Amino acid sequence: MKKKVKWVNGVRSPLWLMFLCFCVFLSGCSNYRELNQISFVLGIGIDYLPDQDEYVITLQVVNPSENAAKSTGSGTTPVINYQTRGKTLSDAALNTAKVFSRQNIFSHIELIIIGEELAKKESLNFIFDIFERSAEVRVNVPVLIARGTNVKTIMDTLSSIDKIPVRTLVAKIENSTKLIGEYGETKIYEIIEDLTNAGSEPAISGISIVGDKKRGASKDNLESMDKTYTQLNGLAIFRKGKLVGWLDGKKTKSIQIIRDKAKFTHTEIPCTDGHYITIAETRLHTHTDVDLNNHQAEITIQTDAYGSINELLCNTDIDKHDVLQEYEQKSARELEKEIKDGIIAAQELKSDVFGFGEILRISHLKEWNEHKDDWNELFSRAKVNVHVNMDIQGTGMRIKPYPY
Amino acid sequence: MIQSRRLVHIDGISNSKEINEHILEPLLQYRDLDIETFNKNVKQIIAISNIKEKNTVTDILAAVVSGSAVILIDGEPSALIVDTKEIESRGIAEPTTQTVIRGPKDSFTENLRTNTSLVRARIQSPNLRLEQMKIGAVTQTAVEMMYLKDMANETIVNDVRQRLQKIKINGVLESGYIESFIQDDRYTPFPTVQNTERPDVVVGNLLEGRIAIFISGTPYVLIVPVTFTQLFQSPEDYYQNQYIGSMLRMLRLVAFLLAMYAPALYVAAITHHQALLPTVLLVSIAAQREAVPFPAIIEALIMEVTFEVLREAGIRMPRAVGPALSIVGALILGQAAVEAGFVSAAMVIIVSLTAIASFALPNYNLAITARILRFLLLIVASYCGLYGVLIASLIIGMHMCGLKSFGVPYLAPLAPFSLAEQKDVLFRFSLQSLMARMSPGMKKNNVK
Repeated sequence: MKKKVKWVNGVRSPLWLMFLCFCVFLSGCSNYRELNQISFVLGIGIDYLPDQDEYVITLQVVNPSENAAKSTGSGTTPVINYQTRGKTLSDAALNTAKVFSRQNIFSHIELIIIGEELAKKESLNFIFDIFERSAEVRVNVPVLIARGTNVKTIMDTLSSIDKIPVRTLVAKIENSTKLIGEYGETKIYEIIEDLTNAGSEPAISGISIVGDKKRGASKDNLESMDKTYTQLNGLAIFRKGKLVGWLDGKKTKSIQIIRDKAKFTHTEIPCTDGHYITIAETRLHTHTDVDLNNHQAEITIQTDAYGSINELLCNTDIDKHDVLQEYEQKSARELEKEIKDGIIAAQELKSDVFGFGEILRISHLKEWNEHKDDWNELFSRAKVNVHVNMDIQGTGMRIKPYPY
Repeated sequence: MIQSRRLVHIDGISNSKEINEHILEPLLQYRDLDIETFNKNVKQIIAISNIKEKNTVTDILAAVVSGSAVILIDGEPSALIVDTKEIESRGIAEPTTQTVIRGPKDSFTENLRTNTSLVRARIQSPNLRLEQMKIGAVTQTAVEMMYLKDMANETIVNDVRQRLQKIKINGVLESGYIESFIQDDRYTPFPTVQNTERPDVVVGNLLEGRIAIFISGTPYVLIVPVTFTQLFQSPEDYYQNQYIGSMLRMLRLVAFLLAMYAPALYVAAITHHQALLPTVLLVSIAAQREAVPFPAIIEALIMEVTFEVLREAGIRMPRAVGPALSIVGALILGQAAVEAGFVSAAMVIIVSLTAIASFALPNYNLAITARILRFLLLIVASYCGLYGVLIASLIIGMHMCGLKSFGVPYLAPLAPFSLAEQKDVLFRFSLQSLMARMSPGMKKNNVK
């Protein structure tokens, strides 16, 4: 005979059952919401009106019927954007109750767009509080800065294949990070980290509009082949939470490479007669060291990359080892230059968007503690050494170019 | 002097041919014998093996109604009871509810003797014991318990015997009557007694030390004790190779969970936890639900109830109208309701999934459990979401932990956990490594 296990007896007691039933019945339906009484916010645009000292938010909510696999909709827009104002972001968000027929669900936010006005005149310092404080919103949402246009115009621009405008924006950042190593995806928590750390500043990709704004916001844009579209445009550089300038073009690459986020990129190097060849770099790996001696910071960046020749627009004999070696050298120098250009541009803006200060803090805590208050100054006149180690491993499907 | 002799039997439950050939014919042949010699040798004259002498009216009546022929001889104090029972029964057919692809194709019939012989034919061991008893004050139904003396646990055998003897009922029409009297907890939705119409299942279980209860008049044989994991086993697990056996077992567990939880989780997700669903899926479901006039729970209940009605109708209706039912069911429920916008396509998918999953279970008993608990979980889920599902699962889990089947913990060998016995639970190990096994939870020290 086995001894009776005590808790098994406990299970049979009605007290347990009562307790658990109370757990169920006393909880109520606090978060009960039917799907057709709510709307899903996919994107939030935030801007600031300095005169009224008010925030304006633009919510992009999805119109489910227009996005169904078997369309049940009547051909209206796939999303609805509407704007409200308030003294705080949550005030503005709650004010949507006055203008919209459904309750907003913020758990599916995919993108946040910040107005240039807000980034320049106010600052990013406090606006992400609501995103961290609220349990509903995720903080791994990418952020963009509307450059040259207002937030709502960007969000209003209708897109074709992916029907939801903010999703196309997210996909554009993802693509450019993945395929060309430019314009990184900056997420809310990364911005918060960069804002709180003394040794780094946020850098956020910018987005602009190409084409006629009016048409972009109407269904004509979907029917016409001459479309108005959004385009990633530069990288906003912040200092003390405020936008101080932009990095443009290839310079945006340097941040992704130094932060070791870029895995692919490509460089164009001149060959014989004013033509170029494209070398794609893969498996990029970067190591950064920061040192501080006598008020002089020294930044050493070591990047390893494997390359392959993507395109050859001149007739060179690349089956020769020394020709390839020459290209290795050239592309390494080119990449070095691109990285350095980005750093110089940031130095001019006195904003350490690369997080060199953080690296210093981790490796040389004592020096960091002494100089953390004037780090931006030290950074702006730091000595920068960039070394790229390139190894060309492939020439694609053919060796010699034509005509021979 | 002519001695008066009477032969009494009830036509229909006794074998007339046997009576004519082996009783009447010899009796007539020797009727000229003198009375004394005749009476002395009457048992030798009758060419039937089982002859008893009884001298009370009750015994004689009981024998007559059970199909025996009774020979009454004038002047003798007792009557001769000759066993000529023969009840009309159908032949052995293929199993109708528990079919397999590879495995024996015979199944039990309503005839108790046929049933025991099907098992005896497979176990030719002197250790195979059969105990007979009559249950039912009016029907006097023959009930027999069968076990292997060297395999079965003595305590459980005694327990089963006692519970069977304690039954007080007027009639036993089906094994379910016996089941409800002998099960440990009469309020549980979980089956603590297994039933089968397959002789190979009975043999397998006897070999694992369990006890089979045969009931006259039903092709279903009861098997006790039962553990939860056993209900996921199909005889075919052992007939095919161990990999597919293991895979299918896990699949059945998934099917059971789906049958129980699918509608509850769906309703919880779309009414309480929209954040849990991927955006594209959520938008797609939202688009379907846009014009649905009912709350999700009402929609789910409508579909579930409709399905239950359809299923019930499918069992009841005459075979000939089967196609009509499936057309109405598939077209009206599946298509027209969705097109009209009364229910969403996603809900139809979930309910069909539940239905299909419940048919994948090898034990119909278990499918019934899933069916009952599904509604409980669904209502709790609509009321407080996953939190409610969690609490309800907790209650169900605790209830299962407390269940016993003839002293064996219902969740054995999972709780109490026994590593050695895991060979035949989620995975079916090779038969070699299962040799000399005791079935899960049947170890002697496991029994209360």
